[in-house]
Amino acid sequence: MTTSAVTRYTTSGRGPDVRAKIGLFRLRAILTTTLAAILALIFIWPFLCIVGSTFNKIDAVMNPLTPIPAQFSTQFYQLMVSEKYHFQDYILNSVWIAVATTALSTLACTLSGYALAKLRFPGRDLLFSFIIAVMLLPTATMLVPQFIVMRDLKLVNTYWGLILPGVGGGAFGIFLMRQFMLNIPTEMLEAARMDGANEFDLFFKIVLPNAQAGIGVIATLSLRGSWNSLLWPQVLISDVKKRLLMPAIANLNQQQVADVFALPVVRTAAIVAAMVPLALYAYSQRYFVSTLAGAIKG
Amino acid sequence: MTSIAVPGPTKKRSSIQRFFSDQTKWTPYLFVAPFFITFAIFTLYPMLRAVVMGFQESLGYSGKWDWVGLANYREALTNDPRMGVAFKNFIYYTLGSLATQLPCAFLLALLLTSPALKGKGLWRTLFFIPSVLPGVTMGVVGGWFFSKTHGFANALLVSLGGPRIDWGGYAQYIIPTLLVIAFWQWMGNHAVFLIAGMSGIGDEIIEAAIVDGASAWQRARYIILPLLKPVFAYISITAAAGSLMNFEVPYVFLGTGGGARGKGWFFMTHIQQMAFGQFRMGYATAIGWLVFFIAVIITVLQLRLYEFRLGKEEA
Repeated sequence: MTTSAVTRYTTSGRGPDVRAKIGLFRLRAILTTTLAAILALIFIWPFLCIVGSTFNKIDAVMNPLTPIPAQFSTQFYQLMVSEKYHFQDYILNSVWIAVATTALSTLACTLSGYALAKLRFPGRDLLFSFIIAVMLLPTATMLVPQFIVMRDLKLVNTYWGLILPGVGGGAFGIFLMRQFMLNIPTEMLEAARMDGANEFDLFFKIVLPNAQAGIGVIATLSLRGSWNSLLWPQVLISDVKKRLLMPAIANLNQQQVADVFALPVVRTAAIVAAMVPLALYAYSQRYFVSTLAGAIKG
Repeated sequence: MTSIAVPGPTKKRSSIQRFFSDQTKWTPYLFVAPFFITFAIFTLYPMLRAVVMGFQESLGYSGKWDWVGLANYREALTNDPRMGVAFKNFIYYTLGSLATQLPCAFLLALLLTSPALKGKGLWRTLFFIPSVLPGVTMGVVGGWFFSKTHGFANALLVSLGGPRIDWGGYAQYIIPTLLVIAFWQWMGNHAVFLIAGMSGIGDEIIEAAIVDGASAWQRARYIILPLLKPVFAYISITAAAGSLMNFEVPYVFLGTGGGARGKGWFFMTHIQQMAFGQFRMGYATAIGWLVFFIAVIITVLQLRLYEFRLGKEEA
């Protein structure tokens, strides 16, 4: 806030008074940056420590306050993917479900968002108000009836039972996608229609390339939601072979009494589980924060 | 006879033909179909089913449903001590979260928007990161952090000459430990939203205040804070709704029992336990509706609160 005032001084004058001001600004820069660095380090430190503890040797005693292992080893990671704990299977199951859910729900959201924003057809507003109404219903209300419907449709213990509600439950995704699509100029679509493009050409050649930022946000949210979710895969999948990563971690965490390796393996798996949203965030961060912030500011 | 009967079908067929020959007429329905078919089956139908299920009770896992009228709701509101526990925990957890996270998020947002600060993007990212992590990871990290024997918190206490505390064993520690985890997960996220809100405040307002001789503290308190009220409203409404659905961290951190003396028992834990522990599907659905009504009530209350304050500010 004071930048503009200070920079005006730095560019215009060279008197001793001004030099003192520049010095003061440099001092403030050092102080605020150091403060931010210290706070961030305190904030991230416990996370670094638990990551460090997963690289410790099994029988080496490690101080929990430091991120450096007493003796470096990848034993816990090897144990995690061993015949005893099977986390490689759970990770693969979770990857497959997250990718399938994201691909299908993003496609469905993009198609519907485009139609709701840019095409005119009878029943459009009714459909949209349906979505908004149901968007308000929380998981707490939907969990049990959704499970009952899955049971009636014989989808309990199947992956379709995990994927399909994700496709039809992304009401927020539809809402966001419609907002993105409203920014595509209608004249552009009209001009393409005049030139003889059919409706499918319009969608694939004009709408898709222009909606990439929106698609990125929807796909990120969907992937993160599917990967991070615990409750729904926990209640729907009881077959151990089909189990996903999050329920597997939670289950092993609750059986730790009988098994001394369970807790370190749980920690290792929890760190591995965190890598997917972290990588996703690092990749999509550029437009992600600004888009969401824009959505709430508006 | 035939001359009357024939025009009907042909006219009808021609309107269908017209519908399918004009691509702009049928493609919209094709485009919305994938979403709306799954939406109708897996969201809309269960919602309607839930309205009925709230008045029913299933007998075990048999799939038979008995109509019980308002009995589920009556039991949940008057004869279920765990509902009271869940409600009290929800209130403590929500108020505690907002009271600890919002002031710190505001101060952090002020620090991270300070013009003198270098490397703004890096700091924002570091504080934002915990909010994208899975709830399961946060629960596991919390369990490690507050572990009695090899946890971070006790190691720190002992190295400072303090006692070793059994965080999970005593009821009075459970909500505070959950608040620490929630603080770690959400405070930076709130700060990033506040920063986004601050970027919407015009430079000329701030510069006018500087010219008028307002100190940094006065600018923060009397100009930035009031102008951020819509962002605060957004954060506290979504945070309250989120803590109503609080499940993953307490479930992983405290286990299925909800910790010592039920201090970690929340509405979602209760619903999950009723539906999949005791197979009382109708009763769990009724609780789900009550949670929905609570969500509506606290949202409306907060909207009123913030609007009222906004109105007062302008007057």
